[in-house]
Amino acid sequence: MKPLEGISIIEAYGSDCPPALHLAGAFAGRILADLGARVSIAASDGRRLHSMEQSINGTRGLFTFLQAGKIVRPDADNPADTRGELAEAHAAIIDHSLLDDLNAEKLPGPSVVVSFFGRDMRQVPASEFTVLALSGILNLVGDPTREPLRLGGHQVAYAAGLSAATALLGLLCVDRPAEPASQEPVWISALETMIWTNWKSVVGVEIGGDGGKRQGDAAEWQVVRCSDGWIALVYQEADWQRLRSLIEDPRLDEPRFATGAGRRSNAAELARIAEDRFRSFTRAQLRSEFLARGLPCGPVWSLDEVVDDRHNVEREVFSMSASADGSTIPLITLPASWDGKRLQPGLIPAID
Amino acid sequence: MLKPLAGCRVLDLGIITAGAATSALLSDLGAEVIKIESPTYHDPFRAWASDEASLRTPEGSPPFFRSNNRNKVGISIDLKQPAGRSAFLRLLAGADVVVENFRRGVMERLGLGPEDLQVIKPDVIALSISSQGATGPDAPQVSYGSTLEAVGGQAYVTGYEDGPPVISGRDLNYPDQIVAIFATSMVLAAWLRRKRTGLGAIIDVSQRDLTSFMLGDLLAAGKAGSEPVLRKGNAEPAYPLQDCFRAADGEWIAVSVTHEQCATVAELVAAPDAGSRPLTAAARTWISQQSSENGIAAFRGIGVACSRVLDGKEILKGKGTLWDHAFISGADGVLLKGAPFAIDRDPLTINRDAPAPGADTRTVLEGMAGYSQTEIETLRNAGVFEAPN
Repeated sequence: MKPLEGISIIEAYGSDCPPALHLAGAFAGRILADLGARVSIAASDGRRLHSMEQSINGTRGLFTFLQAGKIVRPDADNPADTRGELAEAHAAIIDHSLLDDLNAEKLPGPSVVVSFFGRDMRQVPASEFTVLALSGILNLVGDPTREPLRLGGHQVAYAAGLSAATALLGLLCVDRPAEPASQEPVWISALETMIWTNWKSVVGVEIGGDGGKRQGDAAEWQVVRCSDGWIALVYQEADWQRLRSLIEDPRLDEPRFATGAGRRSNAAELARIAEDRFRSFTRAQLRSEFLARGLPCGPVWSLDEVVDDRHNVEREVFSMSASADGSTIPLITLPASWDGKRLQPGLIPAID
Repeated sequence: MLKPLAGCRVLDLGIITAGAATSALLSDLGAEVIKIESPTYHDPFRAWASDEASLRTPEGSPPFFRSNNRNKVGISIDLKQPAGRSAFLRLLAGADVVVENFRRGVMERLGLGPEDLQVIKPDVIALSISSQGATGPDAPQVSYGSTLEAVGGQAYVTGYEDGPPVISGRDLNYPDQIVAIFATSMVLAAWLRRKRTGLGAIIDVSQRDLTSFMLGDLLAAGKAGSEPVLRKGNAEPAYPLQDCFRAADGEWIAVSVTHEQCATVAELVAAPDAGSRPLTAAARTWISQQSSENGIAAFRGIGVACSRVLDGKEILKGKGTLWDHAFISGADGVLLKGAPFAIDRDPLTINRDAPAPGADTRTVLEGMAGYSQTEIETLRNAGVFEAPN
């Protein structure tokens, strides 16, 4: 039995729902649908998400990934009907503009409200990019001599979606009506989720840390070139001698590379020396060399290589998922196995 | 008070971040969490940034360790010894969830793998968190967040338009952080199912899989025959203008302008037209002539998303505006990690600091596993248990 079998969840978004919050809610809904919940989306919300594919990503795939396993329900005619739908479901995922549309602060049942900043700052214009800026994460990535760099993909929206799914599962675990407070919607702040993931930058300040700064090619860990792409050069102090034997360059005998502090201070030069060596190896060859020495191994795979990677194929990380139109597409499954099995995504609904 | 995991007891073998942080979230949600270390192997996070003596608790825990282990009791038993394994199994009898994130095979070699636990206690929820999953050719490999970003696709889609793939680095270790939220959701789902059916669960969470799952739409795009996804720096199709620009006061500000906003922004920054290139160039010039505060106010005043690029020091000052529960203070006032969301209206508090190794061995083993103090002392002297004198 899938964990959430028999549980019905509604996703509903207001007329002014920012695209990023729609993604956040839809991501949460995808997780819950994979867990067996009956997750329904309004027809108009489905069409809107599908229409966002090109404008948001410039590619297809958004609708497929986020809506797998969900059911499309007809659009409600009016706010009262929407409230009725919310009351009939076990739980709801909404955005704050729907509360405005419903002219409501409370909802009939357990619900999470996805937002950029929480209840009090919901009117402040925002995007995933500006949330990354406020979270400190933007400051950590990229070259210190130029503009900071965002994480690729929709990390802010989907991290907020993780919080939303988790919070909603928490609400479903609470016994009702013993706990009437569980009727209050739980506000999910994308910013607070991202600040929390960047906790080391903040907590570290109190022990003399600098609050987190990007280091570019002076970073201790960074990506270096090899003959057919790149590999992440990642190692701990205990790995150094084995890494040094792989790089096999007499420059690494210099005193400045003799200590961990010295290697960190000369990380850019160390990376260039490693790159000189690695340029004659493919990622696959380097992978073998790294593994033979028990070194952490991070060849940079392209997205197609991720799908086709042997480890992912053997673990059935991707599943050929069916669309309502009869086509199939490899879709990533929920990143957890339950009792030895991956939870398969449901049918990708048709768009009316 | 809303505590979804009220009545749930967690045996927490989690270490460093992924496992320990998951259990910390479970305690925030109401679970009773017993952190289990070994006399011969303490959580390695105890040794990180441990030279800042002025900010330690009397027991000597550094803030990073405290952040992932507050509100837990702590015991120390040697699971390699039969008597230690026996103690663990006695605790298992009264527990609901077991969390661990050791290298693959460690728990199985101890005879305490998920399947072993389920034989002994069929309704146990056994959560294993690993870098690359319990199965597959890469499962035994040593991994870190940055290597997972590389093999998971995250590095491939992160980078300047003219540059190589980029990893987020050891200061953020992004996959380690988000896995704690996801793993918590899996425990909650299992708890919910158990309440309804009595069934336990064996859950295997892979950080690598999660890293890729967070790119699920882009991974689907490639196989849907779409245009290849390329690194474009800070650009995104939804925003003709999106990037960071340096203001007159030296601060970076991040701006995202939608298609609908281009004309209005063109007017603000005196762009010759609302096309992406001239708009970006004009915005760069205009922002360089403004203070960051004025620039942000101007953009926000016309409904454009705009914020300063902050660092940890500035976030620290943002309690009540930027964050409410992402951080909480210990009894000594030191700021520690809180929670990414709050479902309880009562603010999250730290009721007990992170435990010293074996701080609660005596009380837990007596109260929950039925050992007498004499038995505990005997086994402590034999090195099976660790407890304060």
